Amino acid sequence: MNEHTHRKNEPEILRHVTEIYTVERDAALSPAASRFAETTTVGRREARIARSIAAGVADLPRLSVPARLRALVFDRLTRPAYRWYHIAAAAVFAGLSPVVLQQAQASGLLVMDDSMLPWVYVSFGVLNAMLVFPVAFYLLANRRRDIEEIERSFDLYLEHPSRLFARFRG
Amino acid sequence: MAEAKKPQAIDFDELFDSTSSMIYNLGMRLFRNEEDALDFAQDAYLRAYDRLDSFRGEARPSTWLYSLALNLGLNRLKKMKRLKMKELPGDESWTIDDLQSEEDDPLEQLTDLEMETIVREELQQLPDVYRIPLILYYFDKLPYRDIADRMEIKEGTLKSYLHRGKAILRERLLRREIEEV
Repeated sequence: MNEHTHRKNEPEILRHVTEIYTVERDAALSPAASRFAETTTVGRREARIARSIAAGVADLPRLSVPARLRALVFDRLTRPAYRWYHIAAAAVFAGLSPVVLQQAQASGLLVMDDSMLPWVYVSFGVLNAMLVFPVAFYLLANRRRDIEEIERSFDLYLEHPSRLFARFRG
Repeated sequence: MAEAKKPQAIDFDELFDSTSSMIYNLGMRLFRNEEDALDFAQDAYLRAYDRLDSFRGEARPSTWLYSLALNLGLNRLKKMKRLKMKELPGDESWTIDDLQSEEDDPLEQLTDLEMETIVREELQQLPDVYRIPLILYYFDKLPYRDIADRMEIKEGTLKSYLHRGKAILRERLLRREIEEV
């Protein structure tokens, strides 16, 4: 093909090249584009490049899985199976205990002197733990995605603090 | 402490064994490094586990998991600002600027395998906005509509990015060969 012919056929060539690059995956070339791809230098070259791109990307190597992936997943799946009613019961228990204690003292059923204070503190500590543990596990088990989202956003802001201010400015 | 029990039609252990390679490799294709791929795979399985109850059996478990993981990966890339795609001028049509003016074939010395190897090397250097559509189209063999929906872009925009990606790979292939000659 000389320069004159090339220019004259430019739109046609571009149409064929477009077809070569767009039909590579799941269709066949039209007869005209097929003829172009077989009989011209440009056509042969472009068809070969298009095939290489499609085949090169389609044949990406498969890598072996690092053994630690199993532990990364299954270690996270072992967790306590708290339900909402466990939380509710723990909250009621922790909330009512001081009231019961106060009522018992007021009615004379319980006589508290200073020697009992350490036991009271320890008991409230245990009560709080009874509430905090189920709440924490419940949140981790059921709202993990939200917690991780907050964690990820926080990390992102630590890395790029300007984005936090950009949000306020925006 | 008891391990959480979920009513499930899927044996999660079996699902992990049969799909871990698929999910990890998807992570490597999306994120290009082992740490991010592992983090992604872990998150994908944990999410799948959280959603086992919602699995209705309409697709194979591996297909369901792949879809969930792919959406997760694309969203994560978007949050990392690695998939900022806008509408590009032009479509899939090639222009004369895309094509070299000379008509000889500088690639004729290379075998098909060598060309494919160069394509894979250059693919890793492409920005994600071009690399990911090419991978989803040619490797994962997803239809245009599916890719566009998952990436939340118009089908025309997707085609423009695919076209640009191919044009860049083509140019780099030719340049590599010219440099090596």
